[in-house]
Amino acid sequence: MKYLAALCLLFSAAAANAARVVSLMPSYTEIIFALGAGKDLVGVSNFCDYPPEAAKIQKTGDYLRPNVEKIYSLKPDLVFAGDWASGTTAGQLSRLGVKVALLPEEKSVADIYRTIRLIAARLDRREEGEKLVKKLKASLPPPPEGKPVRVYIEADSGGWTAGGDSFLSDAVAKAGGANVFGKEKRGYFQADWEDVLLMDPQAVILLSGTKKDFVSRPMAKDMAAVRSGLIITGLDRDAFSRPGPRLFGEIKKLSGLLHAEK
Amino acid sequence: MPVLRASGLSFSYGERPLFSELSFELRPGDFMCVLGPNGSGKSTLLKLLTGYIRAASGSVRLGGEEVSALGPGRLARLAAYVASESSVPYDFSVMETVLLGRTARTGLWRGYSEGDGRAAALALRETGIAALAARSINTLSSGERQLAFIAQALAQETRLLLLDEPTSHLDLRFKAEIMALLSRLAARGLAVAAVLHEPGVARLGCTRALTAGAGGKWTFGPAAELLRPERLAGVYGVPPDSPLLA
Amino acid sequence: MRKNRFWFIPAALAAAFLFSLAAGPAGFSPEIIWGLRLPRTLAALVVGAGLGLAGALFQGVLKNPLADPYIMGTSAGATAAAVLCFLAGVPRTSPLFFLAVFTGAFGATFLAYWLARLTGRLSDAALVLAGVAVSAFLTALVMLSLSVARERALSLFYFVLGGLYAPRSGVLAASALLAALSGAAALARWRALDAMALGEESAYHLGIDPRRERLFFFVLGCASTSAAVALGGTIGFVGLMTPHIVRLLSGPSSRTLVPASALGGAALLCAADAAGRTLFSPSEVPAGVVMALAGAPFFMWLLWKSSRGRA
Repeated sequence: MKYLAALCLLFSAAAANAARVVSLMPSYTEIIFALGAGKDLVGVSNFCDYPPEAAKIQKTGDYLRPNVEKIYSLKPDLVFAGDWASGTTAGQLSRLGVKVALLPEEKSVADIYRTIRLIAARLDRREEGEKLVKKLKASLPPPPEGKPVRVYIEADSGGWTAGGDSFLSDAVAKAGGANVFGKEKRGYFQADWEDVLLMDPQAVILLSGTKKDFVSRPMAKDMAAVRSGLIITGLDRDAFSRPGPRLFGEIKKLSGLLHAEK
Repeated sequence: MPVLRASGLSFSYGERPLFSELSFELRPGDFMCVLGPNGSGKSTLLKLLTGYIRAASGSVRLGGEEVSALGPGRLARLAAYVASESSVPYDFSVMETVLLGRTARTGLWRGYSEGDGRAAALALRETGIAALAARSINTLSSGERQLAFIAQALAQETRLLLLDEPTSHLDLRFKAEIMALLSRLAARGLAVAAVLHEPGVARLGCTRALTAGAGGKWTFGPAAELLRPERLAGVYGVPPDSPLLA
Repeated sequence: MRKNRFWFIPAALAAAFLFSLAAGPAGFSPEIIWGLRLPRTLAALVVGAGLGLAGALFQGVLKNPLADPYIMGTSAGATAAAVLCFLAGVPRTSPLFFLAVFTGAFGATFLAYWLARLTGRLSDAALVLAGVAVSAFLTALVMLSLSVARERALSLFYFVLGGLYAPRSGVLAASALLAALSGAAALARWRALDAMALGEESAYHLGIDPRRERLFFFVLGCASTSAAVALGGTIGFVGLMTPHIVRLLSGPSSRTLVPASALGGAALLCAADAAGRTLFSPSEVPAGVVMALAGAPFFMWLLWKSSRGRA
């Protein structure tokens, strides 16, 4: 009886061209939903909270050390994991016979297209993938004229910022800004406050913390961004910090904010 | 042959000589008290005798063997030592504590033999604490505890027994009981040396005495002579008619 | 009067072992038990045994009920050496890695011991303070490595945090061997360890060379700590708690204390790891965190007890 049920399930699944998929990254989850394959997801990381439907999917722990056993128990056909974070997990899953797609870290906006295409290919949704990439590309604001605005991105309190090896830096460039730490060939690092002052950014993107706190930091009032009042706190933190489809909307929003006065 | 022979022993802490050219010997049946003011080096002397501290010059021979040439294993078969106060953080039973006296006479890995058990049982009987064998050492009174460590020393089956202040912190009954025990042990052929604080206690059975003097000059002789109040007055720096010397 | 409840220890070990094999969201499929839970359970057993053993040896040889590889800086030394090995690219299965980890453990332990001795009398608290100082310095070194070595920071970070997430079979086997050899060597001199537990002066007069035995048991304690750290990173309090619990069950004699602490440590960490996996599933609480939650109050209780007992 059990086998029969399993068999039926198998056929119905095959008929609907559906697979059982687990995503260990919030950005992958968002991409999978954008590709229209959200219903295939049987497991997502604890941090996957968008779109709202993702909240109803079974959780598999954090993405750095996911619960391998939980993933296995969901009997997935395919697990999407980031190769920078989940190498050990992928090894364990493979040994248990679970197929894992390890995707490279996104270091530019173009890398996000690559991730979308990779995921789409594995889900047999190449067409949807191309469509999504095209749509996202089209949604980018036109390349800005003139000199880009010098931007300091504070991803987290304590001066955590993005270097040139990050999609955030590229996202700022697409919005007509120039990351003041763009020359740092690093991903994410803690910048010294003195260095930030020295760079004298014309705009600041705060993903956490308030404008008031920022302005009251030592010597902050001499900074160009503070004088002109361009302290941006209105970006959606999750949307902007995940290399997924929602980033493009934020880029557009950012572009508008950076060039409002011009 | 003497059980213990110290000759020309010298030792100083920094500039201050504790012992200069100290010589004495103990034979089976001798029960010697070591008397002197605080800081005169009484406890140090016992450790010099067991080789725990090495003398600057001079020699200590235990049963004819030179202490400085022996390792701890051999020394523990020649001389047993009871420390003045030994706290044990773990709840060893009295029996386990006494059996550890057999360490030098048995391997480090195997269990205790029947012979070890007999020696421990004998030591417990001799000290009168056989009934306490299963108790934790940390639940005993100070007097019972002192007896347990004497039993441990007896289990070593040495001919020389050294004790550092065995009667301090004890009530009068236990002071008397311990001195009577040590006298009995001397009577059955052991040489016993004990650091003591009160002359009154020392008179309970000591046959020999070693008393401190200025500049590390110690005096060794019959207890009856050295324990006379007029002799002790000089040792402690109190008047000869002080009731403390009685 | 003391009852001997030694049997309780293997019973607890068996229970923890079965609990660890059974606990998990994927049910009882053989491949999960063999492929996932068994390696992890074995790792917990080996790490716990190594730490429990090291605790028993240090507490005995130093006559100090507060001694433990975590508190004395032994674990921090081993961790710092392991991190340096990662940075230098030494593979975790190589003998060189184990040698380096042992050297780090031993160096840190002797440094803490030497510092504590500087205070004159080697009191229980002085050793704890010296261990804190040594640990703090070595942990700072590890943190420095973490901030400098960005590329591998994540895996290093998880190693330092301590846990049994995905043990490698080569490291598991080497650590198990090292811990077993240390335990066997310690058991072969159990009486010397008992004598040392009465204090160095007493040990000498019972026929033991205290300096030689101190070195011997330091080497064994550091070796079994190294086995644990190489496999599971820094996990505290197993070495502190286990011998105290074991003494209550089967007495303080090293002849039972040494094997029982190894078994008890294995049971304790295995249970802690299984609990960490199940309590907040699907999220995992690292075993080191579970142990610290249980162990830190235990440590305070010990401090309180020892300050009252010997004031």
